[in-house]
Amino acid sequence: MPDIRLENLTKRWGDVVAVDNLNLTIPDRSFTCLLGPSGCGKTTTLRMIAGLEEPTRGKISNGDKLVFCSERGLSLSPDKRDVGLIFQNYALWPHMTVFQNIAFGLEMKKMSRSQVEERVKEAAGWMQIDEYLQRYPSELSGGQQQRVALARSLAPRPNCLLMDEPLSNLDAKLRMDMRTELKRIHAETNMTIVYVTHDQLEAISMATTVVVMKDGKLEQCDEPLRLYKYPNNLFVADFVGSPSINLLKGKIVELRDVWTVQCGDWLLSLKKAPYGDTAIKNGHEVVVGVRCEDILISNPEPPAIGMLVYSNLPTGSDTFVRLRHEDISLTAKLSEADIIPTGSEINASFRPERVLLFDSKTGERMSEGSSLVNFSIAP
Amino acid sequence: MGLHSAQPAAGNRLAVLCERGWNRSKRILSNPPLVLSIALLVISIYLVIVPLISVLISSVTLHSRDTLRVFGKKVGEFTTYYLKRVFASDISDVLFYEPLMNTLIVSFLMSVLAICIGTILAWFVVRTDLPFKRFISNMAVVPFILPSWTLSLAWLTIFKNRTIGGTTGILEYFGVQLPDWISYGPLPIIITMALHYYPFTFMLVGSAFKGFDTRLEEAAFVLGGNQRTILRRVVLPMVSPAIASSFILTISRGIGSFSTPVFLGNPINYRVLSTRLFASLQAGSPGDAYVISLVMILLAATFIFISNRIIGKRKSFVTISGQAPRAKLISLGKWRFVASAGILLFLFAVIVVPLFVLAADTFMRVPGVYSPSNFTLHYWIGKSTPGILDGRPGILRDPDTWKAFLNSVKLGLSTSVLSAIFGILIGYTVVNLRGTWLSSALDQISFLPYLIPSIAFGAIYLSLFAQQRGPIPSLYGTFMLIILATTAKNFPFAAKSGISAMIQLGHEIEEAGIIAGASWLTRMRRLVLPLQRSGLLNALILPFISAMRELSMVVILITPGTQLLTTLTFRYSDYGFYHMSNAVVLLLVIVIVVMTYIMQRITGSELSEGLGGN
Amino acid sequence: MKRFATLLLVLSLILMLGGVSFPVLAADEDWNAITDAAKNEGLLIVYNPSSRMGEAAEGFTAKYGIAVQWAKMNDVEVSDRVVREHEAKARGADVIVTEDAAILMAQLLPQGYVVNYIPSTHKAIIPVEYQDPLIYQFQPRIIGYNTEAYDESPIESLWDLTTPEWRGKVLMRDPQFTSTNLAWFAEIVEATDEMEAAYEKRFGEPITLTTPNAGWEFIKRLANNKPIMFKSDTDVAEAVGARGQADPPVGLYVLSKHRDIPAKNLALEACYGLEPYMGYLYPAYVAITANAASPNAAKLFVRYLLEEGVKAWTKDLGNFATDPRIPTHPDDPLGGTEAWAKVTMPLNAQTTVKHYGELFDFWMKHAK
Repeated sequence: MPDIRLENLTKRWGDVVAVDNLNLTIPDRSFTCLLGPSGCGKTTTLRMIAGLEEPTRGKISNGDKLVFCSERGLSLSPDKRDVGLIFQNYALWPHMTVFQNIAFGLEMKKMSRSQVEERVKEAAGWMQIDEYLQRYPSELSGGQQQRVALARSLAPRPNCLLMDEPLSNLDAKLRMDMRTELKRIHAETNMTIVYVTHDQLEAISMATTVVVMKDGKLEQCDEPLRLYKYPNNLFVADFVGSPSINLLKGKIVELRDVWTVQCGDWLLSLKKAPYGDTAIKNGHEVVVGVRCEDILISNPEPPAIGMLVYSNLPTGSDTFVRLRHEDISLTAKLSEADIIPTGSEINASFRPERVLLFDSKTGERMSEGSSLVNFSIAP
Repeated sequence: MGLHSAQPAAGNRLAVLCERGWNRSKRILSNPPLVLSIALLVISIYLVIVPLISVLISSVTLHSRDTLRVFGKKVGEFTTYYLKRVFASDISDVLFYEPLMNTLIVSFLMSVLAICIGTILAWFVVRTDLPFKRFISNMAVVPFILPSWTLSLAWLTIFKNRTIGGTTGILEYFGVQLPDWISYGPLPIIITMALHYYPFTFMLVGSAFKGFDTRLEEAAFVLGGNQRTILRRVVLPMVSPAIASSFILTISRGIGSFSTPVFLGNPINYRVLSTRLFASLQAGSPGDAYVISLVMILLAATFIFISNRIIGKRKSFVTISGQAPRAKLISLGKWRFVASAGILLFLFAVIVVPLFVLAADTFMRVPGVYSPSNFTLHYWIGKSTPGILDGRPGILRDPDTWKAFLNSVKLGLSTSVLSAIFGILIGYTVVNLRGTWLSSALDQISFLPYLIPSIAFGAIYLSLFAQQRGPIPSLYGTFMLIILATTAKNFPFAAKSGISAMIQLGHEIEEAGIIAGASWLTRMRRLVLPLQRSGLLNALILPFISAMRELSMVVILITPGTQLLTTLTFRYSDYGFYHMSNAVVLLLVIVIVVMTYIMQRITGSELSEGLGGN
Repeated sequence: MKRFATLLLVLSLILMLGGVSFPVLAADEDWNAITDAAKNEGLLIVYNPSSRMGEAAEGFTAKYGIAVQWAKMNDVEVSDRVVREHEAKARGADVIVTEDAAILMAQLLPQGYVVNYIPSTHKAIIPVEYQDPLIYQFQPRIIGYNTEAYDESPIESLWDLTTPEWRGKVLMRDPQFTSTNLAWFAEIVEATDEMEAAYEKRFGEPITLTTPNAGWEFIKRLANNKPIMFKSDTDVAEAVGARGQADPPVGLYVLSKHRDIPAKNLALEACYGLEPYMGYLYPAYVAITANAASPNAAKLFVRYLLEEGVKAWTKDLGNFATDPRIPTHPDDPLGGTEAWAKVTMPLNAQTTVKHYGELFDFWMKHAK
């Protein structure tokens, strides 16, 4: 199992810590996304794996092969790490034809002329760019350039393909096509793909593993759906999902079998959380998180509570509705393209098993998921 | 027991340390950019920092000639004699304070005049519907391409009076008695220098005019401002950063300028710092010269510092909107042809007239006599005649001219090739190692020569390379020295263009090669260099031209065996052989214009960057 | 006066000895060997301040077939270059000609940059006092006036140059860059008695000093009187002697410029009878560099210069070879060096060395 393992990996630029003591295992043959806002250290991490950036401290290994070790002053050069890298701007060599671009890496591996030709043809065929082999990159569209960049990286058949926001320069439609294409490549080859993006939708829809980073630190590493459903903390909860999760500030007013949390004049009774409760006292400040699709409007079962429709944002397939109650404002998703007239009063409720509870001070999630028991207005 | 058990652990740690050290140094040595940057650092320290230190030392150690003045001290001993002489002695006024005042006055007034001319021209060319724009904008930059003293020589040819003897100018010949203040000194210096330097402003302010969003102007127009109010309240304030930076650029050039004051100021003993420095060297007082060099460097550095402080902050004005919409041109109405004629007349007066006067002068036995009998080709192709110009043959027949011509071309070629190589390597390493102290050290050091006025730079090189130092043999009197000095003086330009070319190229181009497993040499040869080709040509030809017309720095370094066209002009005019010196200048102008033309044809660019074009 | 008397004495002594056969002091040199070696050395490089060197160089090349590269440069440049070339061990001058006694005596010779060389053929011929260092010729630099405007010299005393009448109307080469002019000032500083006497004679009253002595006083007043600095003697002579001037200046220039009077139609004459002196008489020294790359050619050239080359100068009036066999120009108004030495101030190297630094600054300070 040649997993890629990062141990205590740190990268500093002067006083700035780009990557802070990162420990991470990228499973073999996974499609791992490094996700985070810009400046979170994801690209730096990728470049350290590639060998383009030298970590300040730590260890990187690829299977049994130690690739980098600060303690021993060891650092393999990029070409010995068996990786391919796709750059955000593709970095195609503008003075070479598509053929020459793809062939370059193969020539560097001292392959014979015929072998090179065969491999180029194969990679080009794969990416469906056979007809452009004699063109120069500037004569290609953005999407075609992206395919050339992919073909160039795939041709030497690396065991790991690293990609740095490869789709960010494409328009929405092309991006969809390329996502499909990348998933196909992943399925058809045995490659591990490490993919950097700041687009959470892209990460969730493509990855087998998502790594969320912030300020150089690892926030959460999980399967995409688990990440979406059970974010470890407020940052992940807020960063993942579009529109972003509804967060309500509140405090615990009752601690018994059932916890009661007060948000504004709302009282939410939740089934007792299974962990981390010993230190928690009455008055503890918490944040309640509910995803917009977990707000039930059309047919709310009791307990429900009255809210005012503030505005409608139809997208065609569904409609986002902004609801207000005093200082509380929520975004809910109607699965049908219904539009509820602005100003009308409706009854809303939360999907009982999908209410998340976070510690407001640490930001950590306080439970595996709580069941909403009661929902009422404080007397 | 405890000690014993600790032993192997310590040994292990040592082994780990050794391994780390070994692996690290192996990697550093196999990291070409790093090795390269260290090599470049050593070179630039040697060519820039060491000279600076050496001038500091030279200004406080006794020079061999001065054993005649300072008794009881040995050559090379520490002395404050020069500092005292320059700053606080009976002759400080003559040696320093007056030249300093003259320098400041002349450069300031010259800059103001140049800014006015440049801004007005730029406004007409960019913002109005002036006819013949393209032609005007191409011609407007010509004075800057010509050697700066072309205008001075032309001035002398027209306005020289009899005060200093020798042949008089055309006007005196026709019986016009000219006072000294017209013939020599600050007035002609200010005028001719302004006419040489205004293209800076023309180009900078012109592109600011072009770059700014005319919607701002339109907004003011909609709000009811008239053209004049808009110009004063909106347009000029908007381009003020460009004007300010032109001013700083012009004045800092003015401070170091040598050739114009030497031709027009020396005859009546009107000296600026650069010519005073040169006079001190000529009179055999190098110590004074080095102290003056230091002052000039400080002065230039101060201006750059101020400009970075002020302009650095306000620069953002000009680039307010990336894509300026098609500018709506101001209609000059019936005045457009009048304006155009006026500007063409001006350009005619500052380009064609001087060159024509110089050329005419070389064909006349006696200046100003326009009769066929006075026509002569002697100064061009005449045979050596005793009694005329020390029996020198015409310049085209004189082997000295051709030797100087070849030397100039040789200097131009070697300087441009070396500068281009240096530029690319600096650009490569600085961008590659960005964020490391090596990178910023290289960046800063290569900028330093910009602060050092050429004449001071020449003086420094003279002091540094006159003797053998360590393993480096003395380069005095060799052509190599002149090449090195000119190249080092070119570092700022070379580094700047190299760095911006590399930034434009981006590091990914090379990184893609690293990932593909290409060695450094392969990457340079197959990926980096081929992509620099177009920039390379620019980086070659500009230094070529500037080396061809370089005078103030090489005048100090030149020896009889290494004469250049520029120094030949200078020598001839020093001997009073104005015909010859004019003829050589014309030769030089021809070479430079031809080279510029070739450059524009090859790169398809124009120096005026299409300010007036579509 | 005393110094002058000594000179006369020495001169007469030499004239006396001239007819007597004189034993050759040094071992004879093998000129055939030197000539052969010189031809093998190839190029000879000469630095000197006069453009007539070209003629001498051509003559030398014609006679021996040895190429000469000669460069015209002022005294400061010559000495600077020689020093630098020596330090740099660079190929530079083999032979230098300089008029700057101070630098030659105080720096170049004692510090070993150049060596004094007298060809064996001339040891017995060149007067001994001109042998260390070797002088090959003398030239008077005199004050002259415009004969179209004035029937006779408009000035009778050097002190006239300091009067308001001649303010801005005295032309000379800038002493900052002309070592001989500075050296002349040094002689004036030493000639206190003569300067004082001339002052009294001119103005009828004793001088009031603001400086140490009458010599310094003269220099200060001259500097204050706005003399005009010219680049060359040619220009001075032309500017003084040009016809058609209403109010022509007087100027200090080398006498040899009088040769141009007919060709340039000048109205020029020297101010004979000027008190106390009408100018000065300065030597041209020739020496071989210590590291000469062509030492034999250099020796040969020095010999040639003494024998033949100097005629490039002496064929015109105003130049006097130190070799007594080379005759004075027939048109010479006074008839020879000795006569000129009486009416001008012969420069003395020791005097120059003594006052050089002080005078340079003194002049600079007052001439602004």
